[in-house]
Amino acid sequence: MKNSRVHGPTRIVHRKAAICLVLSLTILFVSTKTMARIPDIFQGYIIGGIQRGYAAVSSFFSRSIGAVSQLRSLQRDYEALLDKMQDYELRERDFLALKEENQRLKELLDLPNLPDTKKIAARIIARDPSNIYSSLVIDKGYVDGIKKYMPVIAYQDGVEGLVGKIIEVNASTSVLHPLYDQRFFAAARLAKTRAEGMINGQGFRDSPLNLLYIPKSEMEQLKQGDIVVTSGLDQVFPSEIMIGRVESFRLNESSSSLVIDVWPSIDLSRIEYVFALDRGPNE
Amino acid sequence: MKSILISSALAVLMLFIQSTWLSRGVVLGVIPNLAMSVLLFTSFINKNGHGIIAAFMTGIVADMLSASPIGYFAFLFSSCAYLTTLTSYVTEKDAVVIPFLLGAVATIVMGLLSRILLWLFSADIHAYQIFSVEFGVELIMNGLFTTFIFFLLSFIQPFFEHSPKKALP
Repeated sequence: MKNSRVHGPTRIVHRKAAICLVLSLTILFVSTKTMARIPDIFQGYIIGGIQRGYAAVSSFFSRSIGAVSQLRSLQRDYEALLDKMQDYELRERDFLALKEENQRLKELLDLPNLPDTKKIAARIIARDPSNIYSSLVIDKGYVDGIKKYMPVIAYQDGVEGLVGKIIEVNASTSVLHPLYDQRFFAAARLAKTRAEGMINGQGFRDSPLNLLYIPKSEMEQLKQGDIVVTSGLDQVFPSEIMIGRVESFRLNESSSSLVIDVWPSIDLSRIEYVFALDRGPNE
Repeated sequence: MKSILISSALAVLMLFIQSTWLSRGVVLGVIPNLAMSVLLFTSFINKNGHGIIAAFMTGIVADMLSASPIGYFAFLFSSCAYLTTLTSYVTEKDAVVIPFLLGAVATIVMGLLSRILLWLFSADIHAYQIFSVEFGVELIMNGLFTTFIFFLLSFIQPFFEHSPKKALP
């Protein structure tokens, strides 16, 4: 009588594994070497549609549950806001005065105005399902005017800061490469000394960015809290967009440049809305 | 076939949950890999290798949702599923230890394999930073969530099991 008990993995298990692994590597080879794309109709509408649906369900539940507890705090917040409002009215007057002064100084220095850019507002509806890649999905696609490599900014606590760039555009959604990604690079400079370098992410939202290629000679003038902005030399990001502030810096003995840690001005774990910058047909 | 489709569907559902509800992470911004936990369960209870096929299919969907090149997660998930199927021949499922170890070891395997893929295909490939705090958190979290998922899915285990057709007398 034939023994039906299985004592070890059968040949069919190894065969299935071999087929799946070889197929994966083949697809990976094709997708990395030839940039083979899955049909836009599938990626653009079906995947994007499901992501939008989940985001909608998610926000519905969080809004409904959160609304009950928010009612109590609303009254307190309202009273506090009234006080703040008076304070802001005073500040606004100061701000308008400073703005006019800034405009006058710009005219005196004869600085060219930045070309007008159209800002396309978008909401972040999903993030990368894994920890290893760090993409963000926004709810605007090519039907809304989004194009590949568009710079993306956001406003937080009154600061305009760099978020990343568009790397994939579908019909109704787009994938955004955030600046903390380990493969993100942008031409940057120190706002005070104008020294130019390159900003690079470390792969984690909670880690500082690295500002590379700043010469050692800048060390004496460099201070904690110095502002880092885009230089515009990479032709992807407009110049003078705030990236962050210098957190720490040290000498690298084996290199002629400094190692500077930069804390991003935008906390990407909290942002919900971003703006893609459309700089016209030259994009 | 039924077990492959159910497992893949549940794992894909977990991927969507990871990219939306859990997108801000659970601890230190780290997202638990729930899809992998489901695939480990399927691979462990199906000794015939159906879990490997489900892992491959889920991996392709993960690649579409992620910024990774197509085939990246298909390879990582299939490899973990294959190792889990092999493990099922030498050990029995318990409540805590085996699921925790499967989740933790699968995370390490994914970390090591991502390094190999980075070496083989440098373009667009990201690799786990194995000695980072975040990786340690992910390892422990995946172990814990795998234990939890194994516990939950054990109540509906027959849906995930391959039921071979009985031969006619």
